[in-house]
Amino acid sequence: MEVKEFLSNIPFYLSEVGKFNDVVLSTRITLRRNIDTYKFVNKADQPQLKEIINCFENFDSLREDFSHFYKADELIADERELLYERNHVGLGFISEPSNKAIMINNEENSGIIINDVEHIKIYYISPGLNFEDSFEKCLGAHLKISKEFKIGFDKEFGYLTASSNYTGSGLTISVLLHIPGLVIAEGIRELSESLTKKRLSILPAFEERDKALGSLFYLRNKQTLGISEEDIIEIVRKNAEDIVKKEYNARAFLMDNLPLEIEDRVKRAYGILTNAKLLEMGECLNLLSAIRLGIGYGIIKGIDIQEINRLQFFTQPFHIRFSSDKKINPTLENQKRATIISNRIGR
Amino acid sequence: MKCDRCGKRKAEINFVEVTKDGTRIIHLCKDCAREMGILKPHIDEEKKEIDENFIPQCPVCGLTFEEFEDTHIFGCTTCYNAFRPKLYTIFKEIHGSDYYKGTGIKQDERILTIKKNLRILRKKLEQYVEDEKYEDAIKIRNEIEKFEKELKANGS
Repeated sequence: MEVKEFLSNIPFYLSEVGKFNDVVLSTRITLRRNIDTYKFVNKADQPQLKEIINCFENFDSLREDFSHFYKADELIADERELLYERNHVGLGFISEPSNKAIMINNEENSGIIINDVEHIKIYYISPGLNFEDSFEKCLGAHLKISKEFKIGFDKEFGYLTASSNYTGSGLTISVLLHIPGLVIAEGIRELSESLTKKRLSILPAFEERDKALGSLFYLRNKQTLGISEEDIIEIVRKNAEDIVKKEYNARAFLMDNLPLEIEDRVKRAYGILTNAKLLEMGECLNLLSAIRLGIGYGIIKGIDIQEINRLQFFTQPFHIRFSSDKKINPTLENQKRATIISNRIGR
Repeated sequence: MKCDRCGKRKAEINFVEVTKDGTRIIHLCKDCAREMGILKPHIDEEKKEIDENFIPQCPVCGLTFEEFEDTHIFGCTTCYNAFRPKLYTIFKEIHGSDYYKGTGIKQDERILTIKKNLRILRKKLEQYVEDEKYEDAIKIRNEIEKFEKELKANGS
């Protein structure tokens, strides 16, 4: 299957209702592993890296779950960008594609990235705040792999990763949060400081000239040594729930004190989204954020959060580029974006 | 700068002496400092021992410790062994800890099985309670407790 055929697919986590869905968009679990008998990606030579890719391409029991297999350097740059927009790969996969590969499952919520800094990165994305199933699924893939390869492991340091940031469990959890209440109430810096002390980070998911877009942030664990996998899950869960609570409080505070300003912000956003002829991605993210907030407040009726999730996803630049027959310039892209949105949520 | 006391060896320690007239800085070499009891001898010996196990360049991939300090990226699993004596402090800085506390591969497998069993048993329990088959429910509950204990014992 060609990468662009994914376009007709709506990833599972975008349309399912997950826990705290109005604040938590998705939870991504990543498990990093390396094969003991090969040097890490930065030091291994080309034939070794190709060998690893071949092993995975012909790894039958794994291919049952992850049937789509792509070698990065056999894809065109735009296709790699599409995989990035669809949350499968990081920026390194786009800029340095040689000897990297990825396998993806049918539901498009899980995959394995090969030779991107680490030999193996297993990931699973769930809707809302959800850990248990996704960690078990990652662990399941890890066990299949560890039957085939000797995984780098040390009694003292645990799983050996190329990056010293992940030594130990090799496990990171990223929770994508929509927290406009905390952004408007200027609570992000304080939140970030208190999270740093707990070895967690909160960073903008989308940025333009150092400004966070769409009030979307990633909460992520930074500690992988001296803490068990279960405790990592527990600490991220607890803190994500705390942030959700803080966000609800901030929203309630704003509604009590600035009801008119909030309603204006939401309805103004709706007005622009449904009437604009040209919409840039950054502006679009900010306006969709206001609509999300409006749905949460009950100001906007008849549109659900999942619809906004899908719109935000399918109006990304390379999604628009691939779904058009014509060659796209920025103006045409912005026009298409405006049309898609007003068609979906306009009256 | 030469040592103020022996005047021969290189001064590596600045010792601040407090006198009646104020403070005075004395520059000392390590040997003189040790003789004066300023530098404790055993700390130095311990360091020496650490240095003996430390290999500044990985014998397998050729990565030097200096390169690693720059990028914080290892070159292969053997790097961990070569640099081990110096890794504890680095990991403490990054993670606040220098040892793995998780379960490892063999236990990973067991834990996965237990969790699957627990999920099935909990569903069964719900069903038995719903059907008012309390005797069966008690049996299942005991089984669940057993598995939960094992999970806890495995540190998760």
